[in-house]
Amino acid sequence: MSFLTLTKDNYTVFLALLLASAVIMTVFKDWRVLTPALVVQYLALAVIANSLNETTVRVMLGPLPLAIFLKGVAAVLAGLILLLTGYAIVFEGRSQRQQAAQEVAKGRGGLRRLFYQQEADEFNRFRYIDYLLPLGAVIIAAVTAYAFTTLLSFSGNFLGDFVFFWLGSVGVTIMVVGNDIIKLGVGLLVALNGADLLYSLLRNGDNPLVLGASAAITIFLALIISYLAITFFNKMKTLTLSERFNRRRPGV
Amino acid sequence: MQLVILALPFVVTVFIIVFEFVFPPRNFRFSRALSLFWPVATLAAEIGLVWQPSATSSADTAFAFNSLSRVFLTFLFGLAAVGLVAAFATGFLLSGRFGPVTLAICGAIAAAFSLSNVFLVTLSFVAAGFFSIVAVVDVDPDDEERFVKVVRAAVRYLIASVFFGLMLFIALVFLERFRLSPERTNLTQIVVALAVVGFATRLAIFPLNLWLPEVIEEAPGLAGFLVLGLINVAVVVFFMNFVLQNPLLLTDNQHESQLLMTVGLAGAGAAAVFALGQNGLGKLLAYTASADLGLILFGLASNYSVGRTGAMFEAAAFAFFQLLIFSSFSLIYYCNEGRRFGELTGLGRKMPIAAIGVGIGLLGLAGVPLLGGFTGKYLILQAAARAGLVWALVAGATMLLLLIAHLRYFHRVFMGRDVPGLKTLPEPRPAVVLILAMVAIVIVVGLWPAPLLNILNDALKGAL
Repeated sequence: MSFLTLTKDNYTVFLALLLASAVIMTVFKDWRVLTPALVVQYLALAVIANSLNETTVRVMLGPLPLAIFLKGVAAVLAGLILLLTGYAIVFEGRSQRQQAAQEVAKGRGGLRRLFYQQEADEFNRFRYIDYLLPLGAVIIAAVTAYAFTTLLSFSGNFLGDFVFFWLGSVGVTIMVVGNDIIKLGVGLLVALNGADLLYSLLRNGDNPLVLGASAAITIFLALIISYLAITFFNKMKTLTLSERFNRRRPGV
Repeated sequence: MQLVILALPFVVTVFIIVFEFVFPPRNFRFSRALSLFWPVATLAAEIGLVWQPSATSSADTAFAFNSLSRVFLTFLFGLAAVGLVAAFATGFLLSGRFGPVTLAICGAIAAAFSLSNVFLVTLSFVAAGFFSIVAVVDVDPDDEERFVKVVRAAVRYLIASVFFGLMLFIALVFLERFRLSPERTNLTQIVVALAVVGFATRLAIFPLNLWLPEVIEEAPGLAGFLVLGLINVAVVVFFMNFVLQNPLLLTDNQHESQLLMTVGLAGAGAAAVFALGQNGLGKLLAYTASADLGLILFGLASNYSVGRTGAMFEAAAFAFFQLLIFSSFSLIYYCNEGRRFGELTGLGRKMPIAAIGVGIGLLGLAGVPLLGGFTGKYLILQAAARAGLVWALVAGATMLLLLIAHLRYFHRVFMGRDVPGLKTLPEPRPAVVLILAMVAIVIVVGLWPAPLLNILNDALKGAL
């Protein structure tokens, strides 16, 4: 399991994965991009946290450290839950669009639906600003994380401190720039990841119960996000919590 | 034994979900009755198990029920059982979510009270917050405006729950670090700051209470009780235990203690002022609850035993009043067939029992003498007076503002003009009996609080 240990050769790879996945999660809105990025981030973080943990008491599961195993399981399950949620929403949306097309074909589309469609098209139109704003926010998050790392170093390890502050600031950034339920949930999961890293950094010894409970909370959070997203989409036909969509939704 | 206490609520929760999936309570009469029986019987069994000698006398230090946790667990589970009966009487159990959610929250609280590892305790409370979200969004989706608001409120509540967990988790990591290297005394400030922000977010202390008003305003029936009365009061007990187990943080640290007293009292005062300007009953209740929890935080942070006893008594009274008020709200929703409070005035003539329930609940929360809420507030005032005249004046003014805010809104909703043409269903007898019984308890405890105070004092001494 040498690839699960940070070395001079793979150090930059894991760090790049961590940074790139965070940028992707902040900039993109599509759940098909968000969920793999989240899983990659969890796995990269598991390796970094495992290598930074200098405890003398490691709990192993065969050749694999328990911390990495649980983190991996939590990552895959949380990603799977969000992925299935996305698919459920796509299928639901598809049947609704078919139904709407049938009604339009029968001449029962209605003016309100047309206006709503126009507004939705306008909302979903590609605009550079939609990507520039999150990118700018990521840069601010990176500067913030670096500043905190230099000013408030607590573990004596630059990488550990930076990754902790990076995850915290990126988690908040994702929640600030995101306006749909899944993206807000992804922001929460990223921030939660930071706390796990801190636990690995500062604790003297793994506690299987705490690691397990933390993984369970990650999965549970993904489930709650999925529940809220599906409940909201079933009724409002959108995941966006913004006011203008909900105000003029057509009566379906 | 401990594993049974931990596992039983969750096992029964899963069983109820499967059972009600096969026999939906809306379609099967027997399932309707069983939707009340399963959770209430489980809670009764839990209370019985907690008081067994083997529940505490374990060689395994991972489990540690202390006297305070045991008393409050019994009390909160009892309230949850009464809440289930009220939900049953007002048709709130029919959706099939409230019963299992209540039981799952009680399971998380039992885990939090029995486990000695504070990391696990924190995660248990985060899980309890997650469970309650399912009850918060349990509204009729046909009312689109309310549905959107409630989902938005639930997302905010979710963020607040995770934030609470994160802050506390990080604080605990630093606390462990401090124990390993006690010479780093500056770590105590970080721990206190993070823990206070975490607890203040969960307890909705002003200004970290912005997630609460919409949740209480829009959440259906008794869901507000789960958030405020059940989970938040359990968090108060956790905070008390946390303070007692780590005397270096507050008890032996005058500076941090004063700071926390200021946070609590200033938050209480500001929330009471904001409560005066609210235009919705739920929002009013959210702000007054925030003020009340601020006073409780003040009592806990004060290094006087009278303040701590007062805070714990007030926490218990707070949970009871929340149950009384939300049961009455649930009755009002039921009799008005889901009409919102904003559209209702003059309800006192049509629904006298609900009016009595809400009235006594609001007066009790404000700490009016001869009602159950007076003792806790009086003891907190005593602690404030010992700390200094200014503290006592601010605490007293806060209580006065709370009373004015409550009376003002009560007058409008229950004693104002009738809504023309409003037809309400008759108040169901089981709900009437339940509310009147709770009102009687409030009066009895208000007149004779000594037995409860003795129990609390003994529990606090045991926890020390």
